[in-house]
Amino acid sequence: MNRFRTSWDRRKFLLAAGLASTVGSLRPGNVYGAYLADRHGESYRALGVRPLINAAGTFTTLTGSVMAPEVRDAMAEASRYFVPLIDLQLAVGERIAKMIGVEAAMVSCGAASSITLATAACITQGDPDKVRRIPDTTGMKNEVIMVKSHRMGFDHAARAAGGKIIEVETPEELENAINEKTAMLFFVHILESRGKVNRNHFIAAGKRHNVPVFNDAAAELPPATSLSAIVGEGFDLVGFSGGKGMRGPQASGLLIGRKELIAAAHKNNNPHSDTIGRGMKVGKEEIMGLLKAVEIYHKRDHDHDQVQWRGFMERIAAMVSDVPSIDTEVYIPGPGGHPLPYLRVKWDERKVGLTYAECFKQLQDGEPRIDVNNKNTGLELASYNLFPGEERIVGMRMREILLAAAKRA
Amino acid sequence: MSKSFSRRNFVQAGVALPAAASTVAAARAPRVFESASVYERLGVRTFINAVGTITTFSGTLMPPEVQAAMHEASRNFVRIHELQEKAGARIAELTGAEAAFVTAGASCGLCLSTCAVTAGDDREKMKRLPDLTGMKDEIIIQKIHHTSYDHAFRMVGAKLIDVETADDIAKAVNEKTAAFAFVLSHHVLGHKVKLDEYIKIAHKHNLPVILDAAAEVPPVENLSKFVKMGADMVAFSGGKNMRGPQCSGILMGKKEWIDKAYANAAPNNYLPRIAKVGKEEIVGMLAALELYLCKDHAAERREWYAKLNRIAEGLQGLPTVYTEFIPNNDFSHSPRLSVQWDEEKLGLSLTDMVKNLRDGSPSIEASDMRRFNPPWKGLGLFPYLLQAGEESIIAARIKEIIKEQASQG
Repeated sequence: MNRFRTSWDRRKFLLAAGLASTVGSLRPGNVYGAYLADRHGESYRALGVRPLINAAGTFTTLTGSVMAPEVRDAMAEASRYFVPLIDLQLAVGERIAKMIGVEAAMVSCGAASSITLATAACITQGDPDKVRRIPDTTGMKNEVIMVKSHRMGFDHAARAAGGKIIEVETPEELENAINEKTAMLFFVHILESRGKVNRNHFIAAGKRHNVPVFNDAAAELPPATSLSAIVGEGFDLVGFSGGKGMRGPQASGLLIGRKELIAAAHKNNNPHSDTIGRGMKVGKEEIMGLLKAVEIYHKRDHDHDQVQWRGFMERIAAMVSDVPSIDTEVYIPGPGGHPLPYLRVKWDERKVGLTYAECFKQLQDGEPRIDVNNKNTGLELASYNLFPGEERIVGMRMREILLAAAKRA
Repeated sequence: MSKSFSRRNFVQAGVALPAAASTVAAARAPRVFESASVYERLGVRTFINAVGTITTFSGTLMPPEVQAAMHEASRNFVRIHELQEKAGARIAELTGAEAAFVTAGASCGLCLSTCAVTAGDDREKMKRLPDLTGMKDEIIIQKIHHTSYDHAFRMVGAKLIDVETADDIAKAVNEKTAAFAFVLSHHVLGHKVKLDEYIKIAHKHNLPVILDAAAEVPPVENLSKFVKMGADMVAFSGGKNMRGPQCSGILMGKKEWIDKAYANAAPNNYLPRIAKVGKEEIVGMLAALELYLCKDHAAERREWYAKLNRIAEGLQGLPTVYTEFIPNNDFSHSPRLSVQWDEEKLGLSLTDMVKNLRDGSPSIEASDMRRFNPPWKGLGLFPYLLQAGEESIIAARIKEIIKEQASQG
């Protein structure tokens, strides 16, 4: 009963959105028909969970990304056969390494899990006794050096393996901090612009003292070249999320780098029992799903993505252009952000009679639910998690909300 | 290529198959006829699983309904906390637990439980894990319950305190005691303090009980039984007989403790962030549970016995071969068949049989029952992961191996 109503309202709304669209030659039947069929989220609605249009980004709390159909199929196919999981991990790791051109690779249960496995690899070097004992690292090399401004929620993943974080702020401090207890240098790619120590300082210091250097590159895809380029720069280990730009399973990640370190990471990972990684489980479905995602990602036309994504942002900007005092800008963030099209939308909160926070909330509360980022100085929309057609829904809803407020004001 | 050809040959040589079974094979086209191309291309062996839901053997095979649920789940963005809340409420409703949520596996569930009883939901403490300075850090466990999964407790920084009797427990409890852990598994039979008594003692001291029930379904009743007995947190695996995603599990129990465990869980940025579970696994786990609860368990048991009986019948008349159903003294009540023969007379050792089955085509994994706890004789065959028709293939292969050996001897 309820279910029927939701879809009816939705259809009406979508038709309205199509009719009201100001851009392009829209055929609502096709675009939204397909949208409704594929993305209505019947099972989620039955549970009382409302699916959302994601104009915010690849946040884990918003479930990262939506897998490509080929990835879903790969997971379903993978689930039909029994395989020796350790053999599968090794074979898939080898395949991925070969494809992207690095020494070795393995599938983890996420970028945070990659951090833990990297740290465990550097601390234990694969020694079975140490593998069993961590996170108790008494008597082991256990210091993990980080730039102070790189510390964030995810350094917990290094501490989880028994790593003791040593903070440095300058290249000199980095040089002085390295000692016989140093297990790993931990660099956070996206935070490079914060702080005085850059990647070259880390790589050089690691080489000089023969200490492995790890780069947490969780969300550094795209550009696709990051898959091999970061290792190419001289990092010994690099961690990626599988469920963000690569559009693999949400609970998957990659750890790539030097052969002996990846081998040591394996020894700390599930399905091996009595390891720190045993609870960070990754199944045959996720392993095969991520392999497929990497294959697709590797071959993908990334320039086309950029054009399409920019188009989404431009269409939304055009759709809200008649709102009083509106100011829109399509841009690509600089260092510290993702090099992908975003849209900033600002207006005079007094003139329109609507704050950014109120608009943000109305977008979330409406049907379909739309998530954007509220930056307090304006709303920020990310392009890369939108599906074709959704940009019109987003533009339509924003226009509707803003004009309704302006009329009252 | 040659592999699938020889498979076809093998089954076409159907004279070896019992008449009834070959009819089934022809009508239903068993799984072995399908091309296992996705794994074959990687050079990873697929096999018929007569061993059981072992993680290194990739756990279980998901039924089509679970695959479909994951497929559907992967099409939408949702808020992951909202999904966990609603899925948890549904699991609780179905099982009678006060609260529940989906974890990345049973081991992850134990880790989360340990976080709950040490740091609780105190953010300052949660941030510090696995450093438990100033927190309760001792978990009482019966000596015989030590397994390789101890790591799930230790990874949070907890110390396991061994006890054997109720007297030991009384002496061991002190102000540092955080919880009582109990492991239900056929690997650790023979504990002196039974679960109900253990719970009573823990509660007398006002301490929670963490129960590892990873593989304790069937019987289906266990999904409700342990929480009803008063266990505060119960960890189940999703990727075993519930046939959910391999890297999923359920943590259920008292609301107070489940809430604390969830406060630590991914995607929140605390220690268990490294053990991620995605929307696909959450929905897949729930679908598997619903399916499992609707199942005709008596019919399933009859089918298991029928499969093993077909194997036993298929082996009748072979020299010195003897089959028996072995008694079952653990909690999971799965029937198992032991196949024995005179190793000397036939010139065929049990070890060689296991190896020949593994190396053949199709590959078959079966158990050497001397390695069981308690040890048994012969080749162990478990029916519950066999796909329709596979039991006939197993019988035919065993027969073939014995005959080859007999002709050589």
